[in-house]
Amino acid sequence: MNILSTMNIGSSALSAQSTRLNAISSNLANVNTTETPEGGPYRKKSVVFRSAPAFENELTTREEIQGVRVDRIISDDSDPKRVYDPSHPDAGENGYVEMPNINVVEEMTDMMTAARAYEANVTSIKSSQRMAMKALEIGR
Amino acid sequence: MSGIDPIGQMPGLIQQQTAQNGVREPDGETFAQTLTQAVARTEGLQDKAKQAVQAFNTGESQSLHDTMVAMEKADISLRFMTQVRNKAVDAYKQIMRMQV
Amino acid sequence: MSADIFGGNAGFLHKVLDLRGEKHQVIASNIANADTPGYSPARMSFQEELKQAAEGNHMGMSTTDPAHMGTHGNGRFDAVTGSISRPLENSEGIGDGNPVSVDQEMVRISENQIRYEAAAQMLSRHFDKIKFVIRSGK
Repeated sequence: MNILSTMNIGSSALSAQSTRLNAISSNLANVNTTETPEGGPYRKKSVVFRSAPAFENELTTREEIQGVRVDRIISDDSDPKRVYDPSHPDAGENGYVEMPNINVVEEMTDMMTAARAYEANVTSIKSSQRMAMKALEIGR
Repeated sequence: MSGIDPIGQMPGLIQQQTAQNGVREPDGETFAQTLTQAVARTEGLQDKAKQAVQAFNTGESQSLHDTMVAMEKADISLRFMTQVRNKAVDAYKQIMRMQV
Repeated sequence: MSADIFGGNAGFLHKVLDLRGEKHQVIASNIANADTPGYSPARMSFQEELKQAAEGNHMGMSTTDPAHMGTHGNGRFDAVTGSISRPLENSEGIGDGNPVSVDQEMVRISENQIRYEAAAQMLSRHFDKIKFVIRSGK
C-alpha cells in the first residue's frame, strides 16, 4: 500500500472534473449560438464518467480502489428549441429560430457540483499528503 | 548430601547476629522494597499503555485522550525510574569508592 | 538474543497503519467517483478482525512462535487484511442517482486521517522509548 500513489486517485478526479467544467463553460458560452461549423445550432456537450484503475501496478491494490476518467463527451442530439423570432437573421420561413437546448440554470448548478467535487478531491489529496508527512516523522 | 542447605540458613544466621549485636531491623519499608514496588508500578503502567493502544486501534475504546494519557503516564514513569536507577547506581559507586 | 526489543505494539501499530492507508484509498475512490454513474460507495472495515488477531484468535497464516517473522515481521498480525464491501445504502446522496454523499465521505476521510496520524504517533513514541532506554537516560 503506497500512500504516495494514493494521490493519483484524487488527481484523476481533478482531471475529470476539469474536463466537465470545460464542457459546462462551453455550453454557457454558446447559449445563443444558432450557427455552428457543423451546421445548425450549438448542441449541448456533456461528459460521461467511468471508474478506472488509478495506478499502473494493479497487482498490489484491491479492485475496489478506483480513480475516475472521462469516458466520452457526448453532444446532445435531441431536437433543438424553436423560438419564434422573425427578425432573427437565422429565422426559418415561418419565423422560427432553432436555439441550443441549453438551460442556463441547469448548467450553473452543474458547474457548482463540479466545482464542489473538485474541491473535495483537493482535500482528499491534501489528506494523503499529510498522512505521508506524518509517516515520515516516525522515529524522528 | 545430608540435607545441608547452607544458603537457606543465611537469613536465619543474619537475624541471629543482628539480634545479638543489637542492631535494629528497620521498621517500615527498606529501600529495596520501595525500589521493587516502583519498578512493578512502572511495568504495570507500560502494560496499561499497551492495552490502551490496542483498545483504541481495535475500536474497543473510542477515547483517544485516554490512550494518549496512558502512554504519557507510562513514559514519564519510565523516565523517572531510569533517573532513580541512575542515581542509585551513582550512589552505590560512590559508596564503593569510600576508603573504609 | 531471543528477546524481541521491538515487542510491545510495534507489529500491531505497523499493521494498523497499513490498514488505515488502504482505507484512505477506498474513501478517496468514493470521493473521486462521486459523479460516476452506477458507482456505489465502498466501505472498508478491519477493527473486528484486528481485535481477533490481538487476542490470538485469528485464522489464517498464524505463526507458532511470536519471534517468527511474517512478511513485515508483524507475526500474528500479518494475515489481517480487512474487508471491503459495497453495502446498498438507503441514502440517495444528493439525489442524482449516485448514492455517494461527498460530505459524508469527507467526514470519513477526515476521521481516518486522524486515526492514521494517531497510530503513527504511537509507533513513533514506542521507538523513542526504546532509544531512550538504550541511551540509559543520558
